Amino acid sequence: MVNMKKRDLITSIILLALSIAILLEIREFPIGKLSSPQMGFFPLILAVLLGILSLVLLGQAIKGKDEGEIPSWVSSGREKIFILTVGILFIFPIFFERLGYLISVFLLIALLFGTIGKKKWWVVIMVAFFSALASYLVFGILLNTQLPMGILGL
Amino acid sequence: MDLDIFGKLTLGFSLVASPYNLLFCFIGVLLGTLVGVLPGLGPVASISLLLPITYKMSPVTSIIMLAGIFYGAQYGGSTTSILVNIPGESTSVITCLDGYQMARQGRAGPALGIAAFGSFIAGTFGVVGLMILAPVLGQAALSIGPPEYFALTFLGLTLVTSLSRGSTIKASIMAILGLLAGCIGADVISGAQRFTYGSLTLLDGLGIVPVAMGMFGIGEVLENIASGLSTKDVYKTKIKGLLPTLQDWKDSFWPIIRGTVIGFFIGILPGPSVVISTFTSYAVEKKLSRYPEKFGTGVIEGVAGPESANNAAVSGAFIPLVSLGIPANVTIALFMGALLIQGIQPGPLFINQHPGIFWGLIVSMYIGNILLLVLNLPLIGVWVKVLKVPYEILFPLILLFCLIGVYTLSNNVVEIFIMLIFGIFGYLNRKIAFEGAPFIMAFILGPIMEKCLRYSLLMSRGDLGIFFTRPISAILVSLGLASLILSLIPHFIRRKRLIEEKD
Repeated sequence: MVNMKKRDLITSIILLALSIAILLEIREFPIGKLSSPQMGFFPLILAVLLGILSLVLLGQAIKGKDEGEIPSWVSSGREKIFILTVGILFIFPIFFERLGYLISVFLLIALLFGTIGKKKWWVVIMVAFFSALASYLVFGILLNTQLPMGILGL
Repeated sequence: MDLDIFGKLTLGFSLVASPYNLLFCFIGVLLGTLVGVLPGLGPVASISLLLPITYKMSPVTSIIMLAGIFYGAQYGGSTTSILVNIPGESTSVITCLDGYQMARQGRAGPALGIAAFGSFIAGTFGVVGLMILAPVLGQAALSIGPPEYFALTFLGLTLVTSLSRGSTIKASIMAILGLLAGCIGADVISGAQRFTYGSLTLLDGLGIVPVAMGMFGIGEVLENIASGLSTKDVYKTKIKGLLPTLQDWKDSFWPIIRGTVIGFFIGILPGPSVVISTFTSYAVEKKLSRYPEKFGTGVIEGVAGPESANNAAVSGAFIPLVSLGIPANVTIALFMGALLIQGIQPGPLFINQHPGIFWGLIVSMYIGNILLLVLNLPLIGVWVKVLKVPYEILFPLILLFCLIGVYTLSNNVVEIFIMLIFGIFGYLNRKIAFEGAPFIMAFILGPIMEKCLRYSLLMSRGDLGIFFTRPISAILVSLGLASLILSLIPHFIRRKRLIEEKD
């Protein structure tokens, strides 16, 4: 069973670390004074408030009541699909401009549809092909957006 | 009433009524409804997905299309509430209570019909109110200064934080994170770089589009994939009889009027005003009804009132934006983001500097309401078919739309990465019970808040009393502090009880 206390504990530690990181970062910024605040003034106040609230959350996580079961990160059986989807999404922009719009979008839809849809390969190919074409008509022609041509000039 | 208003309306009509602009108003309404109907995407996600489409157009056309998208997305969310019992967003939760029950009783048609008519009537009156009040408030706003503006942003943030679901501490943390995210880029006063790490993309700050699309678009899709969203029990029988009966009209008449007034005035307040207006309207109708015990079983008043309040609140929420330059809620904040990208700064000078855009907005809201009613009711069958499309086919297209939409902003793949990172952020927030609304409101209000805080302190030479000695600022700051303190009190009372129990 997962519980919110453990998640809050980890979250509060991460947030505390973030507030310390910000405080270290803004050492270089001019803070100014109350009568003439400079660019570091506002982030300083925010970082301090973040640190305080993180400590409050940490305190709540340590002392608070167990709220019982809460939704897991990913439902059972969906882990592989979820990780694959996130992976595909992050890989897409890396190759988008190099491969060009049509090829990238074709591969994107084919991979996403094939990962979750579990359809026959020819259905996947057709859906990916028409999606790439239709979206090109919308973005490239109708909305006149400049889209990358890529290595094949497509 | 200023007779000159008719002259200004004529100006608005002359700009909007061109076939080109009317077409884009219609496309906005259609796309807004289509995306709003999609399960797993609320109005905020719908609007942020469609924002990039408006960037390539002229400011007037883009505003007109955005207004259409707004109304369409709200109506689309109501459609899923009635037919599928999935509220598109918190503003549609109340509609599920009686709307879905009406659908189960074979009365989906009248429910959808009265939602559309109620929205139309309320929206029309709301636009009239906006047309009259916004210029007046805009004039008054010219006499307020940085302390009042700071106080207004402070009130808006504290209301969103204290009224959010769940923990106020977590909502406050999200607001702080949003304000910090708003600090990335050039400093509002000196222009010096902050937290950019040499990146040219970050020099302009994180854009509202990648952040909003990431948190609300990508984040929601990832949530649906992780939880295995499937096509739910869509109301299966053929929908017939969209026109409400005479009895339906009799039952709905006063709820629509009351919902309109409640929605409009609550909508003006900063914070989650649209949500509050729907809950307030429902509570009022239940209180005034001769059969309150029937609420929740499928009474038409339970749909007519909240749906009217919903639409009127949207009109009311535009008032602080166009007159003060302060967005009242998340969806209006997105609208403001769209205006800023078009180079238009909403605020007290907006109406005078851009009369064509303001009056064009007013007229397009009238026309958007009409188009919504005339076109969407016959298209109900289409929306039902859309709802039945398996999610495994929809979600790749939604993701594609997000990826390309954000790329079109500046042809920069870094924006795609920013959106994806915020998509993961939005997804994680849902798992640790942190709400997105305080973050996005703070992100948009942050630069205004910081600028006004620093100018106020410069004016007062460091005296914080400036926020409490000026009457308007004092009232607003006190209200903000009160809302925060009140939201924390039950927490301390509970804690005290826990400690006492342990002893």
